[in-house]
Amino acid sequence: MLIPITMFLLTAGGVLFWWTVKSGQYDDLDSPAQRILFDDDEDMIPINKKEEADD
Amino acid sequence: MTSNTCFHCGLPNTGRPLELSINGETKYFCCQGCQSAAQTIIESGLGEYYRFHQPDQLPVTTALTDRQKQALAIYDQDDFQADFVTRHENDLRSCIMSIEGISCSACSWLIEKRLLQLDGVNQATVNIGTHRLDIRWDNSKVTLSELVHSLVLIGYKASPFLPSQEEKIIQKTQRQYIFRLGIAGIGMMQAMMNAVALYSGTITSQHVRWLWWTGLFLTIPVILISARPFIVAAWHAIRQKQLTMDVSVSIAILSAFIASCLATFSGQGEVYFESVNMFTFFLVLSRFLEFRARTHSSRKGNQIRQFLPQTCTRLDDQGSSEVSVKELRGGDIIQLMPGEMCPIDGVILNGHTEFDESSFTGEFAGIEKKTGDTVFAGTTNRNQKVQITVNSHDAVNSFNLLQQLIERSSSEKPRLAQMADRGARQFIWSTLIIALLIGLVWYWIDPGRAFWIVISVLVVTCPCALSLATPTALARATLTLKETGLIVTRGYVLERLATLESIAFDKTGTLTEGRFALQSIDLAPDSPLCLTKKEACWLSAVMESYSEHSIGQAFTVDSGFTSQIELTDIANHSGSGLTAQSSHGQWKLGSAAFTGCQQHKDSQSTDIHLTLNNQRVATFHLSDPIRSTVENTFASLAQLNVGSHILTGDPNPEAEHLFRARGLSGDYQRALTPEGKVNWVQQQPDNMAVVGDGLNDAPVLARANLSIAMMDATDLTKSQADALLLTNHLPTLANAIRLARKTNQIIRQNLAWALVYNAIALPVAAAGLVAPWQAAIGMSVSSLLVVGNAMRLKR
Repeated sequence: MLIPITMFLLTAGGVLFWWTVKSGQYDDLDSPAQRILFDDDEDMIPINKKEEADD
Repeated sequence: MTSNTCFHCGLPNTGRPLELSINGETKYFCCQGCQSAAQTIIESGLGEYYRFHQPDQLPVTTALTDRQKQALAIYDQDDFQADFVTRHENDLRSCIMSIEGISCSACSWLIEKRLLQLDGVNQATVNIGTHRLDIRWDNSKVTLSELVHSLVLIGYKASPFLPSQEEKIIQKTQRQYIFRLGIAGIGMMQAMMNAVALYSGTITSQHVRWLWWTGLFLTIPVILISARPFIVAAWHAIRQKQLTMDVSVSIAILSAFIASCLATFSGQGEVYFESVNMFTFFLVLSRFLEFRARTHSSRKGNQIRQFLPQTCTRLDDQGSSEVSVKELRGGDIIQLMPGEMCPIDGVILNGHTEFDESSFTGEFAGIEKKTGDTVFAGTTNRNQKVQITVNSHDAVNSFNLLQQLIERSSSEKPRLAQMADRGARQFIWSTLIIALLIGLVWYWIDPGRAFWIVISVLVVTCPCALSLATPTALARATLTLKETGLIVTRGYVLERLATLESIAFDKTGTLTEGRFALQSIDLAPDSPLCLTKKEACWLSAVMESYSEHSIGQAFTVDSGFTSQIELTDIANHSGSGLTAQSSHGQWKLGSAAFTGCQQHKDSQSTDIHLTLNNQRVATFHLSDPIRSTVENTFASLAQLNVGSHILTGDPNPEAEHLFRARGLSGDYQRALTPEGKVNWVQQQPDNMAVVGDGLNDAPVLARANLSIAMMDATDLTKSQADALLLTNHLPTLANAIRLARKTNQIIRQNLAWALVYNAIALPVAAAGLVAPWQAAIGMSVSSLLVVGNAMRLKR
C-alpha cells in the first residue's frame, strides 16, 4: 500500500518540478547565492538597544 | 584606501587626486566621473557598496552631453520601446536591459537598491552571470529614460536587451538540463531506497518482485527524459560510423535497463535499476556543469547590434531630429558629429573628415573621407561634422560581411570531437572489446551468466573512470582559472593550453593599452611665458575637457593645481582643436595644421601643440603605451618553452625593437590585414594560441587553434574566443598554461587510477567474487579518490 502512495507522490513531485523549471525559476543560478551576502536589514537592527546592551 | 588609487575604480591616481569626504574620512578619486558617482552613491545611503566592491579599474563617466540626453529621450518613445518592453496592466511595464560596468556582486546590489529607491520601480533584479537587469516599473510615475539616467549617475550604462536565437536556445537547453537532472535525481534516490531494501536480504520474494516493478516504473521516466539525449546522440554517431562516449554510455544504460526489465518480467536474475539511475544522474550532472562553464561567459557579451549606436541624427525638411537607427530608410540623410560612430553604411554627401576604422583594421590612424566616399557601419568620425546618405537598408552592411567571414572561419575550425575525444575513444574501444571478450569467455563457460557479466563489466568500467575522472579535474581547473581572471568558454581549452607551443599576440589594445597617453612634453625654448611642464599640461587639460575627442582622455585635470593664468571663452572647434582667451592673448591647442606649428614628419607619436598668440609654447607627444606586464609575460612564456609572436596591422616598423627589448622570442609580423593574420596563423605548424581584442582580430580568433580575447574586446570578438581574459593582466596566460599542464597530469593520474581499479575489480567482479555492497564501497572510495585528486588543482 505504501508503494503506490510513494509512486503517486513522486509523480506529483515530478510534475511540480517540471512546472518550476518551465516557469523559469532556475534560470539564474548564480545571483541568489551572492545576494544573501548583502545585508538589507540594517534598518531593522535596533542599534540603540544593541549599544545599550554593550554598555 | 590610500591616495594612490581611486576609491571608486581602483586606477592609480594622478599626482593631485580629487577629494571627497565620506563619513568624515577623505577619499581620493582619479577623475570627476568616479567622484560624482561615489557622491551619488553615498548620498543615496548606499555607502555599504564600498565594503564589498571590487574595483574594475575602469573610470566611469557620469556626465551626459546634451546630445546623449536627447538620445536618452528616445527610450521613452513607444515605437522604440515596442521591441523590447512588455506592457502589463495599470501602465506597468517591464523589460530586460544589458548593463555595462558591473565588476562584482556588490555592483548588482547597488543597482538593485538604487533603482528600488526610485518611486515607481516595482522590481529590479540583476543577474550577476549575464549582467542583465530585469526591471518592472510604473510608467505613470517614472520613465525608462529616468531609470537609465539614474544608472548613469552611479556609473553604469544600460542598453535594451533582445535575446537572439542562440540566446533562446541556451536558455531552453539549460532548462532541459535542470529538468533532466531533477528527474534523474528523484529516480536515483528512490531506486537507492529500493536497493537498500533489496540488499538487506530479509524480505520475502513477493516483496522483492514488488520492489523490482517499482524500480522499473521509476526508471522509465529517467530513461525517457534524462538519458534520451545520450541515446539520440549515440544513434547519430553510429549512423555516421563514429564512436563517441555517448555510444558506450548508451549501450551500458540501455542494456542494463533492458536486462533488468527482462529480469523483472521473468522474475529471475538481478536488477540494476539503481545503477542505471545513478549512472544517468552523474552523467547529466557532469554534462550540465560543462555546459554552464561553456555558456557562462559567452552570455555576458551582448549582441553585435549593441556595438553599433542605436540612435542617430536625421536631417529632413523640418531640420534635424534624433531617431532610432531602425527607422532609417535608404536615401535618408544623417548627420555625424566628430566622435560619433556611424550606425550604417553610407556615402558622404557633404563634408571632409577622417574616419577611425580601427574596428576593422585594428589601427588608430585615421582614413581620410570626402564627399562621395563610402563610410562603413562601425567606424568613428574623427574630425568634422559630415552628412551621410544612407545606403539602401537591405544592402549588405560591411559589418555583416565581417560577421560572415567570422562564421566561415569558425565552421572550419577543428572541433572538440576530433581532438579531445581521442583519449576517450581509445578507452571506449578497450572497454567494448574487453566486455566482448569476457562475454565470449563466459559464453563458453556458462552461457546463462554471460549476458549479465558483460553488462556488469560495462557498468563497472564507465561511471568511475569516464564520468568523474576528467570532468571533475576540468571543472576544478576551469573554476580556478576563472578566479585568476581567465574564463574558459569551450571544453577543449585546457587540453590545448597544456600542449601550447606558441602564442601570437595582437599589438594594439592587447599588448598596448589601446588608448592615448601623454608620452612626453616639449617646451618651446623661446616660449612667450616661462611655463613649467606642469602648467602647460594643466592648461591643455582644462581646454581638452571641453572636447569630445578621445585624445582629451590623455590629459587629466588636476584640481589641486592653481595657475596664474585664467582661461576664458574656451571653444571647441570640432575636429581641429580648441581655443581659449586669457589676459595674455589667444591660446590654441590642436594639430599642427590648426596651430600653424611645424609637423615632424618622422614623428612616431601623435603630436598636439599648444600656442599663445600663434607662437608655439609646448608640444605634447601622445602615444599608445605598452602594457607594463608585457616583459614579465614574455619571460614566463619563455620559461614554459612557449614562443611569442606579434601580429599587427600597424605598418610602423619602429615598435619591433621595443618588443624585442621586452623579450619577444618569435616573429613580428606587421601591416597584416585580418585575412593576412588568418593566413599567417594557418601556415604555422605549431599548436598556437591567438590573443586579440579588436574587431579585426575576430576572424583570426575564429580560425585559431585556441583563441583568447581581452575583456575590452568588441562583443563580436569575444563571441569568437575560446577563453576571455577578464583583467588585462597578461601574466595570467602563463599561469593558465601551467595550470593546464598540471590538469592534464591529474587527468592522466585519475584515468590511470580508474584503469588500475577496474583492472583489479573487474576480473574479481567478473568471477562473481564480490558482493554488491563491497562493490559499492569500492566504487565510492575510488570515486572519492579521483575527485580528491582533482581538487588539488585549486591553486
